[in-house]
Amino acid sequence: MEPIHEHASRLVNLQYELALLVGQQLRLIPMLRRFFPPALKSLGCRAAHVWLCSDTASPPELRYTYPARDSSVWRDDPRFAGAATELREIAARPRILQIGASTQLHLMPLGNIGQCVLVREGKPLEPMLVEAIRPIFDRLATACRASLDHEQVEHLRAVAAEGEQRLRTVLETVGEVIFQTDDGGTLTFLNPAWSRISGMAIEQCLGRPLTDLLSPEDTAQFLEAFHAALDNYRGSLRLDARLRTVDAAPRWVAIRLRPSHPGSAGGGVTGTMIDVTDLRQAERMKREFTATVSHELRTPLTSIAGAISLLNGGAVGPLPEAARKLVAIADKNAQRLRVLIDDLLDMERLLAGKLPFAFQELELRPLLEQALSEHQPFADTHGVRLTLADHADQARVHTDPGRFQQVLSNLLSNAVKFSPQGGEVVVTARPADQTVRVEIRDRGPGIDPEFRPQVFQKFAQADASDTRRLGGTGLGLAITRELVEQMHGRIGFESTPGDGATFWFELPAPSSE
Amino acid sequence: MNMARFSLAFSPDPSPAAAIALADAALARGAESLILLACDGNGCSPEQFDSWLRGLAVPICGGVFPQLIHDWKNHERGYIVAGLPATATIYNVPGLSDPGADFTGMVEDALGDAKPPQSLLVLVDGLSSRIGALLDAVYDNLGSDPVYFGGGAGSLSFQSRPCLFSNRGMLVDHAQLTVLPWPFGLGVEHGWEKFAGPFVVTNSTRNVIHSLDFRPAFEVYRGYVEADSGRSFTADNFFDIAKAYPFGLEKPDGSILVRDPISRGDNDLNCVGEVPSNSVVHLLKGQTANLIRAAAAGAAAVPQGAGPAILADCISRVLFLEHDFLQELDAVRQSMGDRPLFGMLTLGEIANGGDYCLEFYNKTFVLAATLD
Repeated sequence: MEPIHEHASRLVNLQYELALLVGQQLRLIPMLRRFFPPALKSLGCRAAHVWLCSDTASPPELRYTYPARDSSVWRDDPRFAGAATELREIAARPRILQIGASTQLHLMPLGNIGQCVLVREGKPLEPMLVEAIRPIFDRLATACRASLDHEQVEHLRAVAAEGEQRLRTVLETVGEVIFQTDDGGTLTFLNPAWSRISGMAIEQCLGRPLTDLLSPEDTAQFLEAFHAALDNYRGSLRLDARLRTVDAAPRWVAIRLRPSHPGSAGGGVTGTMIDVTDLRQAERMKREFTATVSHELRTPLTSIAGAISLLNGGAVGPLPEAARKLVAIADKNAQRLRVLIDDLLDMERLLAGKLPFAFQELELRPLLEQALSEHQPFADTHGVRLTLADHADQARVHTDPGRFQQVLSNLLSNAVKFSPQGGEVVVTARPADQTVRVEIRDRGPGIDPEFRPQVFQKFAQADASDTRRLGGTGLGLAITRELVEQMHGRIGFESTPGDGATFWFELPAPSSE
Repeated sequence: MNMARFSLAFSPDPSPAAAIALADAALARGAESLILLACDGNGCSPEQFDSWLRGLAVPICGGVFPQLIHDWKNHERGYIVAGLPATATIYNVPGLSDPGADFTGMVEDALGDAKPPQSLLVLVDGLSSRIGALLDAVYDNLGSDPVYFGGGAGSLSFQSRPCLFSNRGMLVDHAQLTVLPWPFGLGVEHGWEKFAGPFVVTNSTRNVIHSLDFRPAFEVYRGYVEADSGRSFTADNFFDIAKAYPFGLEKPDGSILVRDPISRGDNDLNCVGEVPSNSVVHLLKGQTANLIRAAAAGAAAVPQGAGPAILADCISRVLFLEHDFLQELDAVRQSMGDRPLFGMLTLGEIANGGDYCLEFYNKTFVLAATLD
């Protein structure tokens, strides 16, 4: 066999050496740092510049230079700056640019992701050598691509790890219990707040049905909400339930549930729990106090109001004009006080679940006509016209007629009170999806955006002077909302300041069965 | 900077007092920095020099070398002191054999964004195992603008001991980078030629070759060298034979980088400087005439002038050429002209004139001459 020509043998040796220098590290810069110093010494070059595309849409950018000190030449040396334009496009074959008297720039293609510039002083590399190292630079291109991909993956991992760490910190420090279950209601995740509230170790609870950890009285209610969440209920479901604890004293928790993967079937439920034991106790004590005080006020007030009424009615003979005016003022304020106490008692009964409801399936139209008829005299005193528009003739509603009238009365009297003289309050009713919607629209001043969040809160008045000017206890809308919700409905409003307000409520339509 | 003020003095006296006297004289003449070169035969030790070095008010660099060169002769004992007319900036880099040392970071910290110097004298502990990594880091940081030259300090006993002079005392396993504010011209040659190979270095760890062509390195080496030399390796004559048979890493342009095997383990060969795994090497041998001719060619490459020239020549060339080494120096004088020459016979040489990457040579002649 003919011996390999010495020069060819030298080039094969070079290929062997260089090929084994490629890809010794996963990360781009360490990989190139392992390759170029020995490679440049072997090739007799003094510098290398690696230009790579960061993505397929971008032109190559300078990513690595050995020696690093030479990286500034593309900025500071106008001869190099001119050569840089050659690097903006991917080339298929090696090229040589000479700059100055003796500096040779060998532009070696790096696949389709960039180019490498080998800087050599004196004569350029001989063509055979350039051909010999082309496959090395093809391998280097592959290694660069792998390194870039690896760095991208590392970056994404770092971002994910940072997000996971942040989430873990939040989960560990938040005061709420955060839990997840599978489709069967078995606990799959609990954060440390669980142990703080229940006193039970997380490890003892994971893998158990959550219902095992609730009081039996609350299990059915929980399961109803749980299955609603599993069925992809839009929004979150809320309930209060008693949680068993290690010391056997159950804690009341407010539970919110939502599907873990909204929009897709299954995947379990994610929920939160807040310990509301102390809050519930405080609420109960407050309600008891309010009820007690109201009852204690109501008894003497009844006597006072009766006495005033007798005086006002002439039971003790005609009163002097000055006394009659004073008695009229006392009568009016006794009535206001009675309304306030009645509202307080209603509110207390609603919150305590002691207000009875007698649900019936009724036609909507007669209910609306009755309400408008009863309020027209009141509206007349304000110079306001009540109009029933677009009522749904055949619509029926599942409601307590007395409470329905109470709701409509509150909304109508509010609308009348806030309407201008000569204004109109329009009541509209229409069936919606399994509900009936009633809207009460006025042309009053509308609701200040800053006041909107408080509209349905107790004793809320946009302007404290409203209470005196327009009457009212500040409890009307709070009671109205409680009534609507306890009749399984929803209530809300829309308003544009200066252009009136529309309050609406929805109540269930009778089922078609 | 006026090179005429560059003072130079030699004393054949091996005692520390002689070195101190030379230094004092240089300081008296106004030297603002000192280069102290010592022969290994002086027996220099930290106990003798550290307190004096630490008390010096001017920067000092230098080292202990197998031999020194002064007045066109090589010396086995004595000191050379060069007084520099400027305050030199000197960086001492530790851990030159530390496999975990990050030289890139260390050099970057030391040199930072400073403008590259005109010249850099690089002295290293020649028995350290990561000299190449340090030189790659220095070149990475300073680039190809400076002229680099220097070599490896240490003892021909190949025992590692403190061999660099610094203001912190004598240092072992360090590198020393001294910024010189003058331009130098370089001549680099060796004259060694291939006689066997190529061999693939199939396993190596930095400067230790474990296997060649997948066979134990010493076994391969011994086969060729004993056949050519007619001598047999014994337990204590390795370097005596090996000094004439270095390895060469061949480059595509045909030039050869020499690697000097200085000792052996059971089957390993310990070289001065790194021999990378997967590199292709040849066995080299020298001819007296070729080596002298190469030195003359190196000397001819430096610019003519009257300023001093510094020579870093490999000690193994002296050991190989023996009395003919004076012929090498004479050939250098004839090529370069009669100008002040001093230097050291080293364990490895360092040179770069801007055309290539910074390289650690063996068995090579490196001449740096000031430009007038």
